[in-house]
Amino acid sequence: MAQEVLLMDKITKVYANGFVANQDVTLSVNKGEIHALVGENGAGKTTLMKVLFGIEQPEGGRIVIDGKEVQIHNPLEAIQYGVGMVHQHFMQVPSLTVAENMVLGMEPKSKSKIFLDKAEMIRMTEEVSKKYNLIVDPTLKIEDCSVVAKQKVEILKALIRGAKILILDEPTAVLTPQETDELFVELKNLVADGEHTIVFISHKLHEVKALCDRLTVLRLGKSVGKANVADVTEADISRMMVGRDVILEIDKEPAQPKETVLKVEHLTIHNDFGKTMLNDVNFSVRKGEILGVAGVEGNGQMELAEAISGLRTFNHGDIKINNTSIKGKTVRQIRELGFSHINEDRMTYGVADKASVKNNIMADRYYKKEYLTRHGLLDHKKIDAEVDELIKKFLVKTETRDEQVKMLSGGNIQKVVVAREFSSDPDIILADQPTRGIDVGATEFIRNQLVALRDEGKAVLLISADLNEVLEVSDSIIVLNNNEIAAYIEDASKLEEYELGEYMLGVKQMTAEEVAKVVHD
Amino acid sequence: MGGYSASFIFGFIWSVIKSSDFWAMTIRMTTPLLFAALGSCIAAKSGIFNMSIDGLINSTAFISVICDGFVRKWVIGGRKKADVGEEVYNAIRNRANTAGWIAGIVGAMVFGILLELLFAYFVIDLKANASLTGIGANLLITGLAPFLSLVITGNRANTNTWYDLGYVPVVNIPVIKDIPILSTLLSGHYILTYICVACVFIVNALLFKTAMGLRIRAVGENPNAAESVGIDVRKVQYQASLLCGLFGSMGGTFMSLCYVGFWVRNISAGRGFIGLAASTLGQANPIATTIYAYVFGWFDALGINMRALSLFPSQFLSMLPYFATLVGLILYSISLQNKIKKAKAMQ
Repeated sequence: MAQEVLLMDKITKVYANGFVANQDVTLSVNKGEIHALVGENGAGKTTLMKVLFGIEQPEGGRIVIDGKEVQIHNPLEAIQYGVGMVHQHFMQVPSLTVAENMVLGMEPKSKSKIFLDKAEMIRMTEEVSKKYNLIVDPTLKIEDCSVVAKQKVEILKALIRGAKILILDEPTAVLTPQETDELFVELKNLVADGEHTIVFISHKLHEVKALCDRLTVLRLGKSVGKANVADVTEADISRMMVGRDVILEIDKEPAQPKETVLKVEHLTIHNDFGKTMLNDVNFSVRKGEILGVAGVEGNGQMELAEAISGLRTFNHGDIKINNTSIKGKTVRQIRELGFSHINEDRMTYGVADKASVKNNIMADRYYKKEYLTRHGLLDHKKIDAEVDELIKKFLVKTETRDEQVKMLSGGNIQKVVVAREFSSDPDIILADQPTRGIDVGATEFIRNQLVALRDEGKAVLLISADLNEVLEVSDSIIVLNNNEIAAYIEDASKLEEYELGEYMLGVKQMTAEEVAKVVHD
Repeated sequence: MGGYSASFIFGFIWSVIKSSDFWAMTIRMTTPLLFAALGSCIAAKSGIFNMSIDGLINSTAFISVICDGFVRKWVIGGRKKADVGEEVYNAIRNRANTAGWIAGIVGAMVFGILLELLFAYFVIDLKANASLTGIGANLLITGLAPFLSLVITGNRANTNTWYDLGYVPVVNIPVIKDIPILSTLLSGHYILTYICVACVFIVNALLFKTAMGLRIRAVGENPNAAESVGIDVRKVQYQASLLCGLFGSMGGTFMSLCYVGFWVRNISAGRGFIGLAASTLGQANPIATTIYAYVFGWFDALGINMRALSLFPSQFLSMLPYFATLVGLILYSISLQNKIKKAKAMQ
């Protein structure tokens, strides 16, 4: 019987806004194993690890490390209990050297006790680096390091502080396949001594299969299963991850697609680190249809949305709206081609939170002739009348049109965004996570509005991490995996969720001919 | 041009620049800027853009005069020359003067530290906008110093009539004081000027050679990283603010006790801001910052010397160091933009 080194028993975490991120989650990890924590985005993996690392305080449950129940109030205490976290976003100071980052907070001092002992710093770094066979150059500045080197430093930082339980939060998200293989060798090497234990957070199932001993599955904030990795197939894991409860059903007629509005041709995008985020992607969206984009987050959805809306440049290929290329066009020019956009980040791109409801609704159109008096000043009478009408039509609950948007609830803020985006008479609407984090009423309203717009003959591209939403609202679905279109399902109503899960997680993949059907005319 | 030819003007400037007095003046004029700049460096490295530094100079200049005056009065203790005899009286006076300027420095430091800790409390704990808090602190001092001056000395515009001029010793460096040119240049400055140069190296060592400096730099650049290894970000920023007050306050002392001799309203004349600009241009690196501070001090000295020519209105010449600052900041932001563009092109 293996020795249990970490037990998180019935952990419950409720955020201040009432969101239940973890509900009675139990995680049991044995000494010397690599334990996978898998689940979709929003399943509660990161929250659970924040609780373990002392960044969040749980409302219920207990944590047992090495048989002793402990209270962890901050990261420093977590480190003292031997828990080390390798953050997805590296916690490093770019202008300092590798050695300086390594010893930060526990700096060795010279004999005079005044100055830093730089030689000792480098010696300490080299020692731990050799011991765990994670080779780094201690004298290099972090800003000059490669991503792989930075990740090694992040792991070494935890080890030099005596971490026995290492949490790795999606460590391969920033790595190429070759670098990933190399990392896995190093991680296996690390646990080989039987002293160290790794909790590996991921939603890439082939990585879990390749690396881990056991796994725990989280879904919608609950732990729904655990297994020995050797006993289950990728398909089994994916079924555990993506099961769903239907909460909202949308009544809609079958789509009647007409001519193509949006055309994405051979689109290739590299991110800031040079990693390919979209690789030669082709699809089209027609009037009168809703095309859903499903996929595990980080497979290029964000880059796709940014490229279409003009917020990001792309490397190869083209995007056309109504047969006009958007290359080199400003956001306003793209919008004037008949494009409107619900951004996934409501508070940054959706609204100006300190501005009024009225100003937010007018933000995309105030400059147009119809809103100006003949002297070129804003025609407030007309604007107020239109804003009031939109507030009524889109059921925005606000005292007055002059209320600051940030005073509204999340759902009502999103309704302000929707009121603006849906009323500009667009030909194509990009709805990127349109109902993320808002209440059921607003969610239902926005989904129904999307269907109503489709029935009016608008084209809708729906990107959503919410499987319910993709399956209920879309007419057809494309699945992004590995930065390419893995599947095109022409009739979404015939798709089973577990099948979608298999495409999303790379268990199944359609042929190029099948995927090519998504390009029309 | 007012009857002068261009070649005459340049000839005049040349004659100014080649005199060793002018360079000595540059060193003198740079002293208060450099103290302010060094204080700003430490604050900036900890991630705080400290606009209160000009108010710090104005207030500590006043506090120095008051501490100096009271301590001298206290040491002399009402004894008169007629009662104790000239020899004894002079000895007491010397002692009083020494105690006075030291008290001026120490008093300014204490006040400067308190002011910067108050500023830090607003910015760190109350999460107020640093620029607005800085402006607020400067405005507070603009009103507070004249008010206190009125209460203590009966005059709200200056302390000129309140007590004798400040007496900070001048240091004549052995050997160098006997070498022509070098003696004018390097010897015979106020002791604070030498302390200032020493502070450049002290601040540099503090930031780059000590654990505290390493933590200050880490906190300023990536507070999350610092926190994740158990560093108390708040504590480090308070420490940096304290050091900013400590070093910056000597700039105020120099302005009143050395440069002017007493306190007048708005005595800094924006030198705190120029120091802040030098630290920004030098990217908070003490050595680079010092170079920029000397450039600004050079223009300050040039402006004063050019008044002899009565060609330009004196207001125009007073503008020179500020104008140089502005040009410096514009060039800095252009180079920054180019850097960003280059980084983007690399992607």
